[in-house]
Amino acid sequence: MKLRTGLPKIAADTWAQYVLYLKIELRSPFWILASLFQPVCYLYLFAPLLKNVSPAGGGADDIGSINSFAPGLLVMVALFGTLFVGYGMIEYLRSGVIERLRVTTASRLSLLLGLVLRDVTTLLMQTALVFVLSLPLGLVIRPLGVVLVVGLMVLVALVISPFSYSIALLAKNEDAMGPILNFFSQPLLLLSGVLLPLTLAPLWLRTLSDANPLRYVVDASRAIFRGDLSDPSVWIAFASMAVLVVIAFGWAMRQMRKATE
Amino acid sequence: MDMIVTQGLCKTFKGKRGAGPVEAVRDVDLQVRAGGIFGFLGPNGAGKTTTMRMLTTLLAPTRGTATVVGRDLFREARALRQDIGYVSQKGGAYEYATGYENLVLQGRLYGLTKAAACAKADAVVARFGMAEYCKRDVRTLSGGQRRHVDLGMGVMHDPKLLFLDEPTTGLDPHSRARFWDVIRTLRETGVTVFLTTHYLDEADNLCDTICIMDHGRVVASGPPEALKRAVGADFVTIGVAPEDAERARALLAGAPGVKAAELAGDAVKLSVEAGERALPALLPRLAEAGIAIARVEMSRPTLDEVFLRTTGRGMSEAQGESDAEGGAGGWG
Ligand SMILES: Nc1ncnc2c1ncn2[C@@H]1O[C@H](COP(=O)(O)OP(=O)(O)O)[C@@H](O)[C@H]1O
Ligand SMILES: [Mg+2]
Repeated sequence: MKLRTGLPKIAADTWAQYVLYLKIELRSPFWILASLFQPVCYLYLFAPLLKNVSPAGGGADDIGSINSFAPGLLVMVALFGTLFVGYGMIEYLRSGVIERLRVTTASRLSLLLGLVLRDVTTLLMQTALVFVLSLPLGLVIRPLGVVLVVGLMVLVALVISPFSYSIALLAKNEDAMGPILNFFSQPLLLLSGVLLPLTLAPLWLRTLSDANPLRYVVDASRAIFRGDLSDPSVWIAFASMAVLVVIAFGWAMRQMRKATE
Repeated sequence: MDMIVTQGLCKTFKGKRGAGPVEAVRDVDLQVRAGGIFGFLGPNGAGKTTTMRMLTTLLAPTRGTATVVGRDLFREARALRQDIGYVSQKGGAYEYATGYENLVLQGRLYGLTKAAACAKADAVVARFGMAEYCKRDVRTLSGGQRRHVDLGMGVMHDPKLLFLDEPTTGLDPHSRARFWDVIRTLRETGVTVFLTTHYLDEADNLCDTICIMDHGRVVASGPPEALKRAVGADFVTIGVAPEDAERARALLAGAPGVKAAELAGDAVKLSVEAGERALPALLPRLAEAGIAIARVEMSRPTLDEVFLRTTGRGMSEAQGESDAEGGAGGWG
């Protein structure tokens, strides 16, 4: 038997795992529905509250408009839709799945990639739902804009999902993991301008948010929806997310090795 | 050919939260020949799992060298994985996938095409008698069924050497016996099996060669029969009428081959060298002295005696120790 090596091996191993993970996920539709519930709530129960907090004169940060709120919501869905995938990792670690996989000849990268791609797939479903639910509320979309925004959300998921796995592998139990994830995610979210426009914020808060990569993603997402692809936030968002993907993958690979030692 | 050769293998874990370092494995030299079932026997916490995790490329040794299936454990870890299978104590199947799906994925990760993996999974299902339950989610299976799935995953790629960590721990006696039979069929197909156990009877009945481990060290190794023979004594109990007991003891104490003789109620307990040869000469002595024999029992030394001689304490006692240490050995 001739054995694959290199890229074909990574691709084959990743695909084999991805397909099974997806099958397992689709078998428990309850979780999929539960994960889709969040965007629905925000669109129909939260967005109406923002009608009156729009800064005077509207403009780029006019969050009261669906064309400004939906792009931000997408980022939030990307963040929270993937943030808690680590719980599954803890279960796999505990039941010896990770250890078993690491003794096979499977490519080490595929062990992570199979899971992460499943998470990206889940996110794509949620993203599609946000689009569909936003259209009746007056969302205006352009084909190129949709492609770019979805690409950006995939990048966010490619950062957050391995990040969540790393935290899971470090914490090794659910009780420790929840607080750690919240510790990181809450400030990231609040300082991103998703829920309330940062134009309402005092200067020091705005300065702080300049250091938050997620803020550029939110800004970029809104700019893309406006059709303003030359906004600097667009390239900053793509570039910073691309760098973070590499870092997040490197870290998660390392934690996967260390967790079974 | 030797399947495993190690020299001075050591593993020291850094102590967690202020605890001192744990010398889990100390200077282990092993030589495991191809073919047969090799058993690692020892109480919880002896270092069996740690040794196995080093030999399966999961854990880097602190010191020492190891060659597994002819390959260097460090430099050729990747190539080595194709030749070995590992079934950990926890198994590691996906709970929410079926046994069959688990088998197929395992095969594919070892490089089989989808068609080849399915064909192989069918063969494994037939061979281990899993047809009834292989299409059910693993989480719904009984302990014994689940172990069959785990083992099936371990042999999907026809490894030359198969590692089984505590394969029958937690199984009821009936399932254990069935599982032993399955492991024996693996030996017949030429797979070398390396297993760990803390069951004396498992080491005795199933293994061709064993290695007794205690506190991270190998304290004895060889075929179970040879180890027991090396204890050097069989135990003979001869029951007589109570009034004859002391006379019988005195008569037997000096007989050839008898190492010790003591009274136990209305019986004499002897420790003799090679009981099957000594016994025929002992019984006529009593008959000549007019002592009627009520019963005769002979027992061979067990592995527990071997453990006792090499470590100074019984296996159940050692097992109790590790439980008292807050289960330090645990199920790791
Ligand atoms: N990852 C680890 N970190 C720290 N100590 C460990 C680790 N794994 C095992 N040990 C310790 O090493 C010793 C040997 O454990 P183990 O190899 O699991 O024994 P056995 O399998 O024979 O029961 C025990 O004292 C255990 O607590
Ligand atoms: Mg163990």
